[in-house]
Amino acid sequence: MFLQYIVDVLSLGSLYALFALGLVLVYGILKLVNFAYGELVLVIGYSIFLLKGSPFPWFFMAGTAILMSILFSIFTDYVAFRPVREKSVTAVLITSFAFATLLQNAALLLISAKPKNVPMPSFLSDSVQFLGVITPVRNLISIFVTFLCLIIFYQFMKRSTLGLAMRAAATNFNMTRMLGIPANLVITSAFAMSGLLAGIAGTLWMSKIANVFPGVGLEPLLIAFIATVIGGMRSVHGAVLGGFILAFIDMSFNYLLPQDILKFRDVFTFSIVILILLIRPQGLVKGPATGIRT
Amino acid sequence: MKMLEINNLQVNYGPVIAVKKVDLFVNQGETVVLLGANGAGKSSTLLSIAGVANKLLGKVKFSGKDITKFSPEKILTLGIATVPENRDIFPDLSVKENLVLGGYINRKKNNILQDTIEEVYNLFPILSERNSQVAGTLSGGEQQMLAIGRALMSKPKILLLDEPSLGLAPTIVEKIYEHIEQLKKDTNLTILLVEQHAMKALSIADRVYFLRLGEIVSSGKASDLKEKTDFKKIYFGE
Repeated sequence: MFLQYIVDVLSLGSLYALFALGLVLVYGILKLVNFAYGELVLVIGYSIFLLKGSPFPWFFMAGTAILMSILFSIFTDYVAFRPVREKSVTAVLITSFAFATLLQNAALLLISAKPKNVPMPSFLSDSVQFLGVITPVRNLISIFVTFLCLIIFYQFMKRSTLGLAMRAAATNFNMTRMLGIPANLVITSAFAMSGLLAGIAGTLWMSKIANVFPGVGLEPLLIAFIATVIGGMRSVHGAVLGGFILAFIDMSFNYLLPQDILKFRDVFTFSIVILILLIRPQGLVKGPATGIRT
Repeated sequence: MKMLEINNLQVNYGPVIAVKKVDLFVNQGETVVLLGANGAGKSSTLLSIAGVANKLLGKVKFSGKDITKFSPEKILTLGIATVPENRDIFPDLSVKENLVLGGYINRKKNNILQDTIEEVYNLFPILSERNSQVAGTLSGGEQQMLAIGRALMSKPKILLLDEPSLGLAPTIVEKIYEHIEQLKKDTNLTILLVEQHAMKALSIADRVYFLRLGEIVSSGKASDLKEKTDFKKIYFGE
């Protein structure tokens, strides 16, 4: 029972952590929340849906979808951020919401308001049993893929010059530019990596919910946002930690709450979130000594 | 030969005008000091050369080329490196990583990068001892040395140095200035220095500009000004 609980928390938490990490990457550098972030999951879902029936193997479809997610993430920068970046925080807030709405309505108009089935290989839903734990294969894959991503991500941020430049830019963007590091390179890389992480997490998410609809991006956005707020918006460690904590809270209520109250789970979850923020308004992990956006 | 030339510069932050009218030039190989009290517009002048402050009016020329509208990254690649007022080292990165980022424009030329790191370590041996230490844990003086070393990593033609004495104990200031003099001797680097610490700055300067309330009020050779100038007037007004 306890092991089952651990596996459940870890598999959900790994998804949440990836979503949160992708969001905080852009926030760290621009000090702006990308509210069109959730739409990357929409892009993932519809990409796989539209490739349905093509002769390509599923992994190729998923790879294409993740590539689309990266491209859309970079595209978000170009249409919603770059034109108004220098102007004001409010402007970017509105443009990124507008871009999200645009994508949702495009899906509504061009495809359908109804949920569409997203094909997934059947082995993902097969159950495996070990040490008394019964869990679908996709949960174990989520955990494995996430830990792999985190290791690669941390190594990249530590060892590569671009990774160092991105960390430096998150601390002091202007100083980074004064060292000859192009602002646009750093920002585009952040959006691309954000798109990659959201793409991987989005594909795993799709394997869970198995269908896509115009509003599909809202929940991942909310998850990522809350996880980063809990963990601390200035730190990538915080985002990862926040993701796992949020999953821990969610899953605990799944186990604890009686069946007829379970549908109100979010009320309980958010109460805990509020409680955490009352005690630590800056989030659990203190990030690098960065200024706020001016 | 004029390396850097600023004409009629005006800088503003929203409605606040930080620099009203600044004309100055720096010849190749010279050390020029910009003196003035707090809020005189010294740092804003420097940052506008580096391309990060809002220039309202005026022209900045480097080796005869108009660079007024250039981005900070472009300006660095031309050979203008900046050590900003608060040093602005990256506190979460190691000393070595800070230097590596300073050498970003040479990142593809591994041997140049390694040689330059060696040169910086020769100039500031303490940094080589602190090599893998996180920069935020360095002392103020060491952070200043790191900031200067990081700027040198791009092999600049001119160094913009903003108040290297800020917040440091007198003996440390002494040491920093010894290093700067050593650097001048070794490399014949052109330096534009901003200071409040007038006597210290004058000791290494060739020429001086006095800035008051955003305007240049006087200028001249450092050796002449050292005796003649009424510093009180510059700092406290009439």
